[in-house]
Amino acid sequence: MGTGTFGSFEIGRRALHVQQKGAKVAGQNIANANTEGYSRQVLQLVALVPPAVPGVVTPPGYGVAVSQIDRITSRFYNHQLMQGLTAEHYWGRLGETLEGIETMFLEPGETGINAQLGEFFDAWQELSVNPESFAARVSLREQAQALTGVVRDVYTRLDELKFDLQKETEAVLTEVNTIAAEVASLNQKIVQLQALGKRSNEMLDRRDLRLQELSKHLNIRIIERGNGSLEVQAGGRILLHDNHHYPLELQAGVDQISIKNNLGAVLEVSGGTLEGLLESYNQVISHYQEALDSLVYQLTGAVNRQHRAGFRLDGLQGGDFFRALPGQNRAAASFSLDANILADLRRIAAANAVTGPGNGINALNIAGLRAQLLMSGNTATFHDYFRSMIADLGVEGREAARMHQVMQAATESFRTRQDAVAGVSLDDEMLSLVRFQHAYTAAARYLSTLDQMLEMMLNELGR
Amino acid sequence: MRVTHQMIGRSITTNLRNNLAALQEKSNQLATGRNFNRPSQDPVGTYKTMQITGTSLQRNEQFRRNMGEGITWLTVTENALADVTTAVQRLRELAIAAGGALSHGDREAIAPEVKEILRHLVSVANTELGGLYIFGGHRTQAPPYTLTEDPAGIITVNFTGDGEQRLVEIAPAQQLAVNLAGTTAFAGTAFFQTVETMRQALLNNDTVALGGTVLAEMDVNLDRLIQSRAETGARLARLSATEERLLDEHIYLRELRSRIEDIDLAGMVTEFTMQENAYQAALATSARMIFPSLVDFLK
Repeated sequence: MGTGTFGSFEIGRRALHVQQKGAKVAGQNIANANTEGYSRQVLQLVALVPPAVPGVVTPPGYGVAVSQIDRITSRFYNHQLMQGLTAEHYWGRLGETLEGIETMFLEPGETGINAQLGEFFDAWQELSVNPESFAARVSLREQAQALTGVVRDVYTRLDELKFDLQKETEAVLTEVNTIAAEVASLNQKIVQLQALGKRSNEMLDRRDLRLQELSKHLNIRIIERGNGSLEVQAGGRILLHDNHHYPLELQAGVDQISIKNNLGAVLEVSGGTLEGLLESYNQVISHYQEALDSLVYQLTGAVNRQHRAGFRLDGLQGGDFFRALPGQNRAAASFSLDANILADLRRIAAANAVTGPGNGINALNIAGLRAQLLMSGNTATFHDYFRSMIADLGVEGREAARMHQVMQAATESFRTRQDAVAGVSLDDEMLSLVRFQHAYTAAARYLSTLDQMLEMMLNELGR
Repeated sequence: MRVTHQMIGRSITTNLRNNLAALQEKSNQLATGRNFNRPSQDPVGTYKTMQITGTSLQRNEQFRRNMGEGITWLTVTENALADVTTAVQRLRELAIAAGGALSHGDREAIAPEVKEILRHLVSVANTELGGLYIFGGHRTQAPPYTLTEDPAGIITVNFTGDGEQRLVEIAPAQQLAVNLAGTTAFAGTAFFQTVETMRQALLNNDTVALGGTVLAEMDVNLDRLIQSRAETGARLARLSATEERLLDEHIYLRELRSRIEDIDLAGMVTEFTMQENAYQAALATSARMIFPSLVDFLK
């Protein structure tokens, strides 16, 4: 085939076919201009070369053929983008937790623990000035209850936040497992196609996109296999390879959660929403709860010690003011007044000796605890300690917010870079459409010219 | 770099979003009038305002309340002592007069006035302030002094209070007694005993005692009173001075907190307007960037 008059027709036929295919590729690109994860495709053409026969002048070739449809993407930017997404989502999730905690503490404000603690000590001062007054005792009890109430409230809400975090982690794991399953199944299809010498650009796009989504949740490492399949590792374990994946599940321990796969191996998750969640649960919230525990434990101890050294209105030795705590662990959860104080206001020991109802010196001593360095290894007052804790919370929250912003900008820029390579430009596509249209028209003209030549030959020469 | 329409779209979205977020933050600050509402917006500022609110300002207010209480106590004490001084001076005059050339009958005639003065003095020593007996030391809820007259007409005054001080904190670790116990002001019951001794001397026409021991004891009483009043006055002066200082500090602390917490309105409005302009500029450029592509120009 190929040479001679009919060979020339063949060139024309191929040209029409190929230019039409070119328009089709442009059409596919335009259609997917806004499809997330779509990589633009480019038709690669090749001129068909005639066999070289010795002694014969080389004929002009057999025309054109499609060598392949290229998928234009940058593996480098894609990798960078995934790394960026992992960091962005880690800081984003951590920041969300810290912001949530900030909202609970209501600082700086007139209703938070800081103000209530101050007013608690003020109420003792007030009592020291008016030790005979029942009004001062009532107001002290109310103030103490306000303080214990706000501390317990914050603490309980931290508990609830932890519970929510666990639920959220489970939901994220479900999503991770779904994605892993889909990638494994894409792996299988891609391998099968490749074995047949074909490939589907759309499937590759889809797989890349799903891996991007996966990298929002945790840091993944991708290893390409020769057969077209990918192996994905996360947290030092294999998450999926070929068409197998290892579903992850949550493992709840005492006050700690971790993630293991279905073989029971624990993952050292780094980055992504999952690390954000694990860190929030295992470290951040525990840190603030422990700080509250420490504050409550020391405050209860100090106030009770001083209170027991005093004398009640009925002349008896004072008992505990706050309910005694067995230990520091979860002390803030049971921060409350002693039942005796709740039962009878005369049991508040304002006096430092059995002199008379006008003795408010012990109340003054308790009020004085405000200025004593009883926290952080006797280097800080109760207020100092709490304030530093809130300042730490602020600094951590600010750092998380800032890092989140930075990483957001970074992923944005990687996405732009990736877009610059892989994105569909409507201008480009319009141009290539015009190009293929012209080539198609020209090929058609070529065929009609050939036809005329043939007609000339058959009709005029054979006459 | 190759630029696609998607990129333009995305960057427009990002820019508009950032601009709008900045605009929202500024409008938040304007609406609340505060520079920050959460610790992460300004950790240092938060620490400072918490210190001012939870420690400095609250303590200042409490000390001022304490001081108000102290001033009331000391003023009432001072008034009582002034009253007592007048009475003692009258007693002293009577003692001097009685020590002079008077008949027994004249002396006996003075005795009832002295008795009245004694009763008055005891009632002053039982001065109440809001139901509390100010000269009772810590025993404030029952009258510290009781007056009894036996069938023989001898008057005895008993003291059931104590000599304890009522301490009030007026500055960190600075305590001040706001009361003067009967033990100090009236030397327990010795003061009243002197008056009774005088009355007995008048009734018994004991001119020697009237001119000698009674007058001498009366002078001792007067001296003690003057000393007590001087001390009360000094404490009052100290309280007033401290109160003034605390008031100044209060104003300063509020100002300081406001400087940290509150927005600079003029500056903030300017910033808000600038941000608004930036947003509008972004909107205007976006509108022109979104539409055109080659499609619009090919026919």
